[in-house]
Amino acid sequence: MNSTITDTADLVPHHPTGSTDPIGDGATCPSTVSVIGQRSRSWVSTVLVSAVAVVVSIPVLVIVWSIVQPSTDVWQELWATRLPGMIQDTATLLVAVLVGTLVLGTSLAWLVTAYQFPGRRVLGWLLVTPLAIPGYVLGFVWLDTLQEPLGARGVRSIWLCALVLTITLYPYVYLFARAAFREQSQRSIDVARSLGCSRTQAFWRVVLPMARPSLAGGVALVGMEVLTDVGAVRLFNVSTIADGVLRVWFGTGNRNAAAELAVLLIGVAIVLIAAERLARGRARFTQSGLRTGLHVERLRGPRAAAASAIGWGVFTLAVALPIYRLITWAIEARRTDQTATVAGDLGFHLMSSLRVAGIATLACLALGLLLVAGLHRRRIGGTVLARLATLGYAVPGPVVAIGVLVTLAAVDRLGWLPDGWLLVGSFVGLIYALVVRFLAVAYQGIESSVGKVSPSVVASARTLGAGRFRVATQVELPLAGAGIIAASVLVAIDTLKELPITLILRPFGTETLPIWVWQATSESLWVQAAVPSLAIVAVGMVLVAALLWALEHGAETVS
Amino acid sequence: MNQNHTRQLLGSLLFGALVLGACGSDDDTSSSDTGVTDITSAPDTTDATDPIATTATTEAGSDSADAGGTVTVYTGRHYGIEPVFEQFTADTGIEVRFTTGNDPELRERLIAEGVNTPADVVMTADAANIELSADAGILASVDSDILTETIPEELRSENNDWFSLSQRARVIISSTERVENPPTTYAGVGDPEWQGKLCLRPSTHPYTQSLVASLIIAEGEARATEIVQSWVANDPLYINSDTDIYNAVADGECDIAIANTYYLGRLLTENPDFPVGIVWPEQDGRGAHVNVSTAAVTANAPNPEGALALIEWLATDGQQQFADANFEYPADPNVEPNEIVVGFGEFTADLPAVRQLGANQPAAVGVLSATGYE
Amino acid sequence: MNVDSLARFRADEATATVPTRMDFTLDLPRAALSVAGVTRHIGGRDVVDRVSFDVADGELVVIVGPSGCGKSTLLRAIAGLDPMTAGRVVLDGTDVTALPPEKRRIGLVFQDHALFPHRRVDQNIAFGLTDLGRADRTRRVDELLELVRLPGVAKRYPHELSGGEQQRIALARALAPDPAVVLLDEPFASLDPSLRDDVRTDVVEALRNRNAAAVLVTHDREEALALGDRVAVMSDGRMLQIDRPDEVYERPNDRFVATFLGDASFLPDPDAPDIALMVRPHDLSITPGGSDAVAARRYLGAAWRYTVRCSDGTEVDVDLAAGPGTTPLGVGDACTVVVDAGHPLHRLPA
Repeated sequence: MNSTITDTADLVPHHPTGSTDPIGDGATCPSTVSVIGQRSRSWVSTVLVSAVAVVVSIPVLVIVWSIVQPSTDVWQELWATRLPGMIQDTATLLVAVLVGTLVLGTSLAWLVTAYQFPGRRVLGWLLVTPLAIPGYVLGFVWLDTLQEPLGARGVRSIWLCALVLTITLYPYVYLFARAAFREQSQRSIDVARSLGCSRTQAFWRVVLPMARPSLAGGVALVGMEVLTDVGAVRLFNVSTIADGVLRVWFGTGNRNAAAELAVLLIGVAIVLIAAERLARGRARFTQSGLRTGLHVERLRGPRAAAASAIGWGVFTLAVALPIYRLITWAIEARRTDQTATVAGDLGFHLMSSLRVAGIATLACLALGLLLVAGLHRRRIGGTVLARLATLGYAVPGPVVAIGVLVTLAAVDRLGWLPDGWLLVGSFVGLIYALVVRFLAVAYQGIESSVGKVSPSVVASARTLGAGRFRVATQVELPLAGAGIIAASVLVAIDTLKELPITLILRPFGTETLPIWVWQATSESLWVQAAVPSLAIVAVGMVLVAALLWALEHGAETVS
Repeated sequence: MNQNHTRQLLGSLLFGALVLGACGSDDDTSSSDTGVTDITSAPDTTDATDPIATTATTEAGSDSADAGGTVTVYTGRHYGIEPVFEQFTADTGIEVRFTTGNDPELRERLIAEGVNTPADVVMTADAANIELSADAGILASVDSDILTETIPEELRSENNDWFSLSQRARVIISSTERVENPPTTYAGVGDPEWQGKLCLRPSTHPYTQSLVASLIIAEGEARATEIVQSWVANDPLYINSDTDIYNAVADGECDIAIANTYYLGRLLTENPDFPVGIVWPEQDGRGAHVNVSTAAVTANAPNPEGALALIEWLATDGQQQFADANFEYPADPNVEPNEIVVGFGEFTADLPAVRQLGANQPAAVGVLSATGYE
Repeated sequence: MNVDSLARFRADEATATVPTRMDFTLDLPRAALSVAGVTRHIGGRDVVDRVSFDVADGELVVIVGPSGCGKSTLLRAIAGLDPMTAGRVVLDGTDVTALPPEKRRIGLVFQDHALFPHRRVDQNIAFGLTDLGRADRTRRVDELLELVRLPGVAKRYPHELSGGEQQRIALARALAPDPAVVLLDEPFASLDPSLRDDVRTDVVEALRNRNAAAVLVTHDREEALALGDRVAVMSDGRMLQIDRPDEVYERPNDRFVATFLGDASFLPDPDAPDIALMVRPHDLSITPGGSDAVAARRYLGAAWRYTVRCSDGTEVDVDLAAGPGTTPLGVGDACTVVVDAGHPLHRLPA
C-alpha cells in the first residue's frame, strides 16, 4: 500500500546520469532484463519473496480476518455514540498535523536551502533532531510544562496534541523538501522571474509544484504516524480511531469490534496513500538538462537575524527546551536516587534497547533487500506482494502485537519446535513483530534508492560482462548506498522509540528504555521518566547524525 | 533493473544467521524455554484444573531451607512491586521472575500462550480484569486453607480461582481550603452546584469502569445511567492520571473529584500539608466503592506449588509490605495498614460488589458510551 | 517549369533502375554482426519489424530514422537488454540469441555516457577487464586512453570531465573488453553542437584504429551521411534501405528515404505516368521571368534556397549559389524552374 512512502531516495540528490529517457526513440521499454534464460531464476525468487511477504503479513491478516464475523450490535452502538466523535477527532488531528508539518517543514527547508545567513549549515542539521524525541516524551514534557499557564483543562486539548505531533514529525517533511529543493535548477526560477514573478511568486508557482512529489511522500509518512499513534493522543484526551481500537478491545473484550475499527483505520490509511500517489503525479524523475542548483541569496542585517531567529526558535521549542526540562528532572531523580528500576540500571536498559533496535533494523534491512531484489519492476504480482509486506505500517502497534501473539501462539501449539522452545515471549517473536510493523520503512527506502540508479549505467555494466551479482554489488549498491543507509537509520529510530509492541511481547531480561519510560509515566511520575527519556534522545541523536552523514555523503558522488 | 538470485540467497542466509544469533544470545535470559525447568518440591500435577494441594514450604519461618525454584509472574500492578518480590525471595529462597504490562494485554498474552505459558501467577491492579481472565478459563482453582482463612470471602472469587491482596477505595476528594460541603454520595457528585468544578478520570481506565459497574450493581443500570449523566452534565475535566487529578484539586482547577485513596498516600508523604481531603461516600448505605489488587494461579502454570507459595506469602507475611508499598488497605482485615492510610479514617466499604465487578463491566462501558462520558 | 530541361536529364531506359526491397538473406558469411529477421512486438504493434543486416569488421553502419521508428529498440534487442519476439543475432559466427547481455561480446555507448559516477576513469574503463591481471589491465587502460586521445585523465572522476570527454571515455570503456561489435545509441545528441564534430571525428577514428565493427543510431541525417560506411534508414520499425551513403542519398528506393535524407521534390515523368523523377534543390536552377513564382526564400550561407510555386501548382525548392555580386530574387518574382542536374535523375515509382 505504501509504494511511494518513505522514499528515502528522495532525500539523497540523485545522479544526473540517465535522468532523461535513454532510449531516445520514446518506445516503451520497461525492463532491461532479457526474458530469455531467466525462467529458472524467476521460480526460486518468486517462492522466496512470496514466502517473506506472506509471513510478514499474517499477523495483520489475522486481525482483519476477525471482521468475517461482524459484530453488528457493538458496531451500531459505537456508531451511535463514540464513532462519529472518533472520526471527527481523527480527521481534525490528521488535517492539523498534516498542514502543520507541511507548512513548518517546507518553510524551514526553503529557509536553509535558498538563503545564506550565519549559522545556516548547523541549523540545517539541528532542524532534523526532533526525530530523536519520541512523541510520548515530548507529550508529557509539554503537558507538565504548560499545565501552569494553560490550566489543566486548557492543556488537554486536541490542538496541543496536534502541536506536539507536528513538532516531532515535521522533520520528515523537512528532509524531503530540502532534498527536493536542492535538486531544483535556478533556471526555472529565472524563467519565472523573467515572466514577471517576484521571487516569492516564483516560489509558489514554480518551486513548490516541482517539489510536490517529494512533499507528498513526506506528508504521507507523517499521516501514517498520526493515524497509528496511541501514546501522545492518550496524554491529551484525544480519542482517535487508533485509540478507539484499544478502547473497544480492552474495554469490551470484543475482539471483533476492535478488528472492525482496525480495518477502518487501514481503510483511511489506504485513502491517504492514494491521495499521496495522486499528489505525486506521474513525475518520477527531476527535470533533465543542466542542473545549476539554486542560487542562494545572502541575507544581511535584520533579515539575516530574522531567519536565524526563526530557525533557532523552532529548534529551541522542539528540542532544546524539552531536553533542558528532562535534564532538570534527571538531576532531581539522581538526587532522590531514582535512576534505576528493579530490572537494572541505565546501562542494562540501554543494552536492551540497542540489542532490540539493532537486530530489528538488520532484519528489516535484510528482508527489505530481499524483497527489492525479488520484486523490482515485477508487474502485478510484485505490487500485491509489496502491499502485503508493508501492511503492518498502517496498523497501530498494539494491534500488530496482538496479531503476532495469536500467530506465534498458534505456531507454538503446532509443536514444530523442539521441546521447551516457544515463540511467544521470545526474542525472535519480538523481532518478528517489529519487522511486521516497520518493514515498510526499509522496503520503500531501498526500493526507491535502487530505482534511482540510472538504467543505462546498469545496462552498461551488463554489456561489460558483469553478471547480476557483480552489477548488484559493484554498481547498484554503491550508488544506492546512501539512500539505503538513510532508510536503515529511519527504521532504527522507529524501533528505538517503539513502545506498545515491546510492552506486550518482550522476553524476560529485555527491558528497553521506552518500557522504563512507560512504567514511570503510567503513574504520572515524570521525574522517574527523565533519565530513560534522555537516554532515548541521546541514542536518537546519534542516529540522526548518521542519517545526516548518509545524506551528505550521497551528495558527494553527484557531478 | 535486475534481480539477483545470489543476493537473495545471501539475504536469507543473513536473516537466518540473525535469527539463530538472536536465539542463541538469549539462553541466559530464557527467552526460549517454558520458564521453569528447575526443582520443584512437590509432585507434578498434570491436570491443571484440579485443585492443588497446599505445599509445606511456605510455613512460617523466614529461613526455610532452600525450597529453590522460580515463580514466573505476569503483573499489571508494577508500582512498588519489586521490593516485595525481593523480600519473598529472601524469606523463601524462591526466585521471582516477572514481567509488567497492562492488564488486558497480559490477559491476551496468557490466552494466546495457552498450555505453553511460562506464567505461574497473574496479578492485576483491578477486579474486573481478573474476572475476565477467570471467564477466559486461564486461571486455576486453588484449595488453600491459608488463603480461605486470611482473605475474606467477598474478596476472593467463589470458586477460589483468584484472591485479593489489597484494597483501595475510589472516593470523593475535595479541596480542604475551598469546599465546605462536599457531596457524600456518588450521585451527589452530579449536583449542579459542582458544574465546571469537577475532575474525573476518563472512561478508558478500568478504575472508572469498575466504579460505574459498582453503581449498576447497587442501583441498576437505569439509575446508574442517570447518575453518570448528571456527572457529564457538570462538564467535568477529564484527566487521565489520578495524581494530576489530585493536583488539579489542590491547584484550584476543580473543587471536587473522584480518585483512588492511595495516590493521596503518596502525595501526603511528599507534602504533609497537601490541601486535599477524602470524603467517604455512601457511608449511610452500602459503603465506598472498593477495588482490589489481585493474584491468581494460572491454569497452565509450570510451577503451581511455587505459585501458591507466593500468593500465600503475599496474603500473610508479605501482606503488610504489599499493601504499604502502595498505600493500600490489606485484604486481611487483621493487618494494620500504613499509618498515613490509617489517618484517612474509618469507613464502610462496599465489599460484596467486588466479586461482581467483572460481570458488570461490559454494561458499565455501555453506560459510559451512552452518556457521552469521554 | 522548363520541361525540356527535365527531359534532358531523364535517365535512359537502359540505366533506369527501380530497386527492390530488402530481403532475408545473409550474404556475408564472415560478418562481425549478423542480424536476421529481428522483430519486437509491443502492445499490439511491431516496434521492430523483421530487420536484417550485417556489419563487417571495421565497418561503421549508421541507422538513421525519425523518433519512434524503433532504432533504439533494435539496438537494445541486439545487445540482449530487451527480449526479441523473433529473429536471430549472430556475433562472429556464434549465435548469441539465447544469451544474456553479459555473455555476448557487445560494447554499448549511451547518449548519456552512463559512466559509473562512483569510480575513477581508469576503474570505469577497466570494469570489463576481469580476465586480465593488474599489469595487463593498466596497460590496456592506457592504450585506450591514448586511442581516445585523453591520456592524462585516468585518475579523475567522471564528473570532473566535460561532456565530450565523458563520451570518449564511455567509448574507451566499451572497447576495452574487445567486443565483437560496438553499439552506439545517439552518442553525440547531448553534446554541444560546436564540439560535436571533433568528438565525432575522434570516435570514428578510434573505432577504425581498432578495426571494430560498429552500429551507430542517430536521428541526425547529416551525421549519418558523414560518418557511415553504410547508412540504413528505418521507419516504423522497418529497415527501408541500407547501402553506401551516396547510394542512399542519390538512389533512394523509397520516397521516405529520399525526403528523410535531404530535401527532395518529385516531378512526374512526362513520358511515363507511373514514374516520378527525384530532384534535390541543387539539381534545379531558376531563370528570371516565366510562369512560375517565388513563394519564399531562405539564406543558407552558401546558397539561397527558393521555394517556387510552379504554374501547375507544384512547389519545389531550388538552391542558387550565393556570394558577393549575385543578385537574389525576391518573393513573388516571376521565374522559370530549370532542371540543371549534373547527372541523370533518379526514378521512383510515382
